[in-house]
Amino acid sequence: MDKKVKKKKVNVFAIAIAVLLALYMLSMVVSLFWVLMTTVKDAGEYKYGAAFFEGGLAKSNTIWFPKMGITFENYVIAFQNFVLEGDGEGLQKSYNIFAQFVNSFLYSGGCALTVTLSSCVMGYATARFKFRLSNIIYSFVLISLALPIVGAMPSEIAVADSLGIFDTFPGIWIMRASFLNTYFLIFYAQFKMIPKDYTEAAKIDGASSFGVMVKIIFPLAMGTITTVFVLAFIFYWNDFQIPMVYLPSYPVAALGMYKFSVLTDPDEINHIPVRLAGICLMALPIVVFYGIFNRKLNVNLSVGGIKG
Amino acid sequence: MKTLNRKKHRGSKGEFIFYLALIALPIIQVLIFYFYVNFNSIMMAFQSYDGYGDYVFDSNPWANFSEIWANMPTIWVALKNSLVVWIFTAVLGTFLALVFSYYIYKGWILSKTFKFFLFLPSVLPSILLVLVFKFFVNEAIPGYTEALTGSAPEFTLLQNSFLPTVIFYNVWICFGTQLLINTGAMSQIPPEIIEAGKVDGVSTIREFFSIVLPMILPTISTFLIASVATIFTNQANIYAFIGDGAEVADYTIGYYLFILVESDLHGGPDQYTYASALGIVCTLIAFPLTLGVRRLLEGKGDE
Repeated sequence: MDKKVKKKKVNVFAIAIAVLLALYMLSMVVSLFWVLMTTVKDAGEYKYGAAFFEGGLAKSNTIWFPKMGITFENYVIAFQNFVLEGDGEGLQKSYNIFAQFVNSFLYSGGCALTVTLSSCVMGYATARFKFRLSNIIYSFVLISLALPIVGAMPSEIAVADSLGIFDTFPGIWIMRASFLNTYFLIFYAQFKMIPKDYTEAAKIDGASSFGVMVKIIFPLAMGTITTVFVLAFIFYWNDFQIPMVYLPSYPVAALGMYKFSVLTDPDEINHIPVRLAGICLMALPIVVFYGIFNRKLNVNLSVGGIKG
Repeated sequence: MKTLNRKKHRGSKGEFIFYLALIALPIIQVLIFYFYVNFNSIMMAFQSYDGYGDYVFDSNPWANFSEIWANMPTIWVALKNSLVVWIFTAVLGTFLALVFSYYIYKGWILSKTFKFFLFLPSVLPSILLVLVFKFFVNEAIPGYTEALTGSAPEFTLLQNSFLPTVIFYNVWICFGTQLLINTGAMSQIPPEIIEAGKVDGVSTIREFFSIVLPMILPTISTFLIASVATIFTNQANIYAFIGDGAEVADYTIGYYLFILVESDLHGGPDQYTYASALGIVCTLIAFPLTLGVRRLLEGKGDE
């Protein structure tokens, strides 16, 4: 009888990665939990501690659970005071929290739409049509991604200004509608993978080139199109530096977060729990958006492909 | 026959018109906002601001480049920091992202939960994460340190180790998009190759380094080559951490260029021409560097 006993191998590699990932997850959970806990803590307790209000010594409570009970007052204060002034030369008006959300929606929705459309259409054209120009465009995108041109922002501002599109929503939508990006490569790979037979079969049935594109090929790539749009939307929603430079008259929510974290006036917002509450309020829409669309991000994206 | 084949291969006239109609607008966009903007950027490098909103050529076209030479100590520090940030975020970050992606690709325990947390920083606004991190480091860590050791630290990490802390933050948040792309590439590896490795008794660590990584090398190369471009543009979220008030010792090239444009203190329209000149110098450094990395990775890929 074979006395060899098969021992189940311990997968040390998997355990080591799991430990790293668990530490990563813990760091996220602890810091986000600390933020949420702080937002419902009385600002006075945070700074001086609960004992101070009962005649004891002042000792801040920055890390423990609220001893004076949970309060949503910080959210109310943040909501009431979350007002920004446009910095641009155009509209000098105040933007409350809702107006900042509208600006964010216009900025990120418009930019995501134009960049997705532009990259998708160019990816389709270069992947499906074997004209010499397609090879030139594809090579140029690769070169432009690999060989960066640094410091073009001042020139872009000057050009936008001379075209009269600086500090306008249509202007920023046009400026961001470039296909010189990774999204183009994702679409190119996607459209290249779809067999030519689909196109040929549709053509035999009398479909036009436009019909093939919008009725046959784009629906097949709808998963990728939606994923790219969602990724782009999230990217632009979260960006505060581009709108700070190119849309100074229309402060977006992400810029609001940044400014709210450093504003010192009025005095009510000058407390960490209030600042954090304001930041959490501003993050709410994108968390909801992610909740709705997170399944769309499970589509396999491919850039560069695999060997063989 | 030859003509017919060529016609079939290249497409019909109608197809070509449709093709041109498709690409016309995106091409016009790139002609204006890539070619013309960059051409104008080169022009601006040799111009100066006239104080009334225009940029003009003056008697010394090299004035901006002389200013770069005069500011070399600052630029050198920024360049060195940019390289350090790149090594940590692009090289270390990419390696960690590959390891994590492999774990998720294999579907090991809690992989879906880990995926959610790894992707979270790509969803939440970077400014939110910066502020959470900043307040946590400034407020909570001293609190927890005091609770554990009995005494609060005199300085916070962001006060006495600003750049290392910022670099740690940038690695901490860099996995999301790479995770999507890497797992996508890994899932395309033919299962029979993995199975063949298993039959030969290949361990998981060997499978990762000898099968999976070489198979997805084109994806990794694309990422690394593209990342070289970010050496000179990556601000490492320094502006989000500290606005335009960073010490020169903590500058990166991306941050320096940004404050030259945006900051009321350091920049403005009169600094645009200097920023353009600095951009050209950085581009001239970035080109050979990128080509070198590309050649290196392609050499590895051919082996």
